[in-house]
Amino acid sequence: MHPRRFFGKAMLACAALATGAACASAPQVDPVYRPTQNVLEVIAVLRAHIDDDTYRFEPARDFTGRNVYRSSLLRLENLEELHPDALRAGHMDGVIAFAKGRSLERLRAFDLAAENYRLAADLDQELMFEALRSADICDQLHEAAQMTEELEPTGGADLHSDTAIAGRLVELDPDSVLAEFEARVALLDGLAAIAEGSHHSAIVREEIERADVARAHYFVGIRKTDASGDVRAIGELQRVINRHASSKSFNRHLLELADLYAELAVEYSSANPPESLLFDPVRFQELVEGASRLYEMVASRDGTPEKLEASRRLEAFLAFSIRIDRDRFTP
Amino acid sequence: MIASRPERRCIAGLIGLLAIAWLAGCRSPGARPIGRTIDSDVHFSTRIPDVADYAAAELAAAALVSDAERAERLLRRLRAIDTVLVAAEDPPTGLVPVATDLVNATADSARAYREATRALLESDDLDPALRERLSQTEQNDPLELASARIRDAWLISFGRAFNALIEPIGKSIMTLSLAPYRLARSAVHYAIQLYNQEPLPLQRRQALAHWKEFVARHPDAPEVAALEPLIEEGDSELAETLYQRALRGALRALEVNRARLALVYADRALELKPEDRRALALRGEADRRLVHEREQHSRSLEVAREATPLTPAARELAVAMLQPDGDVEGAANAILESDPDGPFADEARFGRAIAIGERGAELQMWQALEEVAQREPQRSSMARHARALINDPATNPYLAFSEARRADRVNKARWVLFGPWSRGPADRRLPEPLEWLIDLPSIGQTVAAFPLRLLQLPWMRSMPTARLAAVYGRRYLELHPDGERIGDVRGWLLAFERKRENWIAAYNLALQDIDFDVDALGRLRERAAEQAMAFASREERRGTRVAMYRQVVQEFPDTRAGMRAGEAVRSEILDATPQRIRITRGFLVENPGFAGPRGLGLDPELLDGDPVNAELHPSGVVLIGGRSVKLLFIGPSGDEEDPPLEAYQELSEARFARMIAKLEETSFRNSLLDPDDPVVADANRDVVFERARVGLADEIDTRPRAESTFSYRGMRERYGMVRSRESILPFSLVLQGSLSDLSLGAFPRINPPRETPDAFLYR
Repeated sequence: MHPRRFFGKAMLACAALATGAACASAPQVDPVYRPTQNVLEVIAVLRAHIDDDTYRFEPARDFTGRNVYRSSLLRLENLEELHPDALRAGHMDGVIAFAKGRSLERLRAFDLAAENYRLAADLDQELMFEALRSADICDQLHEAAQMTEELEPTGGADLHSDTAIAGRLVELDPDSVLAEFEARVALLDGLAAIAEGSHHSAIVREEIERADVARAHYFVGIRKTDASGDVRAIGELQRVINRHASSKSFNRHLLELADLYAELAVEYSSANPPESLLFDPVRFQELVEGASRLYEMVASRDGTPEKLEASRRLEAFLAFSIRIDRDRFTP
Repeated sequence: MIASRPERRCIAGLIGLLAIAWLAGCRSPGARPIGRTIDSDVHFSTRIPDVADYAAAELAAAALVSDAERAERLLRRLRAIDTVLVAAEDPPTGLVPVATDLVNATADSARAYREATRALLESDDLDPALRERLSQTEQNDPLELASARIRDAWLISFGRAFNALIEPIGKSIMTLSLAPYRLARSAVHYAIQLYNQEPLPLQRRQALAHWKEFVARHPDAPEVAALEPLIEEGDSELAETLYQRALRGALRALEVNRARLALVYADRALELKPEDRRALALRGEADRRLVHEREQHSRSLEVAREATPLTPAARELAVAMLQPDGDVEGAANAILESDPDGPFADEARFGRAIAIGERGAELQMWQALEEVAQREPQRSSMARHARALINDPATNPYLAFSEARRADRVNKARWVLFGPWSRGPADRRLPEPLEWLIDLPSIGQTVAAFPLRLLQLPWMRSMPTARLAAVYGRRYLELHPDGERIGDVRGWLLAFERKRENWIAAYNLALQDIDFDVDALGRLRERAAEQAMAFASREERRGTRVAMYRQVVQEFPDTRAGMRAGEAVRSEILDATPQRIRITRGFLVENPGFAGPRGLGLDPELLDGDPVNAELHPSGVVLIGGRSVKLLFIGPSGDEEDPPLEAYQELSEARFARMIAKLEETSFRNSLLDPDDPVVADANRDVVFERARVGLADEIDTRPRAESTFSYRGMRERYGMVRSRESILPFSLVLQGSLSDLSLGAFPRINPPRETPDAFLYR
């Protein structure tokens, strides 16, 4: 035998002995229950976070570092693949389907969540009432999400898709679009009353916030088509900030408004070069102040990734403002 | 004739030696396995669930619908089942701890769950992975985290004071006479540290954020009353910290005469502390400087009130300067010949200098401009324009290049003489003379080491000022490709690039010189090609790497590296696979559960250490996209260092999905059992796994960016046989000697706790 391999084997044996010694205190349990144990464990992790208010706070992460709802869903799928023999009898099917529903609704896959809830209701009597109630809520959430879906940018692989959407948005009547958004929020408001006191309340509030953000994005998207478009866009973003002050995305909303101010400042200086006679230092100053104050506000919030984003964007924005002639603008 | 005995002994000895040498050197030849190496069938007999399984399922259902009472009842049933099993000397189900955790998870609040988890951790029948997961849950409490950061902050403060006292004493064991001096010095440094400490240091800032999170999450908790004053105090200290930073920023900006920046910082300080005197004073100073600056600029725009009437000759010069083919030199000469001291003579000189430059006489132009610039600005209206042109690096890069080289030489000389002190004393936010005074003893020692630095000089890396000279040098080459100083500039740049071994840049510079030695150019070309090849091979993305190899082939086709790049392109294209997710032999050996029938389903003979019946190469198995797997075996030589034999197998959908599931679950469990084996994120890998789980493995994403090159490696492969461990003690024992004063000391040093990974979000 190759000496290196012999040495390797000897060392492996030592390592195995050491591992054995280290694991001596591990309890001896019947391995046939391992699949059931694994399912219980995943459900325990998920259950601990079902009532989390994900509207106000970031979703929790599990020991793998992933979003706990996504991780639970993937691990349940893993267990189904790993233990088909042990789970074939179907005693866990209802529970697994229900847990998948709980995970999927947090991942905005409301239609899939509703499907899983219905499956759970069919398979497990004990889960039926709650599963059907949750399925109904998920159906309505899905319906609400579909209402203005065509107005939201998809961010797909086609780099021009957003431009195409912007082009299409321009053709729509803003009043009818506004009415659609209001109908969506009204549906969600009704749902919020039904879901009050349950964990679905946080999900519904997230959806209302999403609808408000989509509405603001619509007006930001069409702002160049109307003389008062910029003011309306700013107003809509401010509306989001005012309506969702307790949201986990509050800093993100502030950043979006700051970005709009910054974009307007850049656009203004391009349309009216600082050296030109049309440049109005006061107007430019207003835009710069709007952006930099909001960036500074977010940059001072400890412990959030937006803090870094804001401070770097502020630096970049100040670097842009330095480009402007000194006699036209003084930061 | 029979050989004599000694001869026979000699032959036997020789044979023996040969046999030993053969045995020691021989390796069993490797072989390719016969037949399939991975069992694609995944059929296992169905297990009929028993009462414990049903109780667990019911318990899960009760927990999911928050029926805590029923969940408790079912937990008791599971406990009873285990009691019966243990009484019958059978192993327990092992479901009770995890079922208890599930029942705990139905608690009303996250805090109650953590309390229950703490109690569960007291029991001794927990699976180690479960224990670790529960410990993580228990520690993930804002209050716990805040307390940990406060402890860190305290340890840092205490450690500083302790080290400041103990270190000079420990160092003076053999040189007691120096103890008072060392103690005094240490005390001064400690006092400066205290002086510079921010009102709210990083760790307490983290604690403040955790307290706020706790109050936001649990506004009705009894701890809130005690936390509110702490948060108030923390907020005020945070405001003070930010105010002091803004003030320092304003001061620094004023020091380097950046009035606009100082104004921004002073305003920020005033926002935090309205009406603050220091901030107001700094703002006032910045404002004054800015006004002064503006006045200076507006002066340059002033027009003389009594304008001299334009003479016909001056008009002719003005027209010539505006016309595309105007005779500027002729018009200027006419003015100078008629009236060399007249009102438009300087304008004529300036115009003539520009015209000289435009016809290519660069040196003559700068000389002429210098003459104008040397005139008194009060008398000459063009002197400041000429000076501005001369001093502007954009128009006169050669002067900037020369100045930067001079500054570089001065810096080098200062470094040789004063070492690191050539950049000034350490910044302690004290008046500069005081900072020099504090550093004086160290400066003495550094200056004494001057001969050593002199010896290092030839091998010393370029200083930042040299890079500045290079920037201006390159700008000169761009502006004046046929400039009169091109030889000087190019020569210096070539030497600069050679010294820092930037062969590509050196080669490109040499190419521009038609007199460059052909052999030397060839050598430079080889080196440049090698450098480009090295850059390309370091690139991780396949698409970009291939493009870079191609560029090497195109730019350096007749070099050795160019040939290799061509081969590399060919092999990259031939060996390209959509994915390259590797599972090494070490990982398979350490995780037999994954290698076995419930995971990959690998033939056990491939891991038995015997190459004769085929043995997996240390590189192991590679998932190459779709359901295809590449298996690597030890080659015929039996040497693991030799290139492996390759075999490919397509797995069944069920086997592939199961293998992925087992691989993930194994890595998750390992991450809980071993802190050195964390789950490493790889988005592309996870997408492949997700698609495999839902039966979409055959839909291959062929985009180069979708490739994952993740490797599952064994712990021994990563860390070797013995892993270095960090000391759990908060202090280390230091043994320190100094050649300068022949002293030897020993002392304990309190180590500051490590910053948490999210510390960068609190700076």
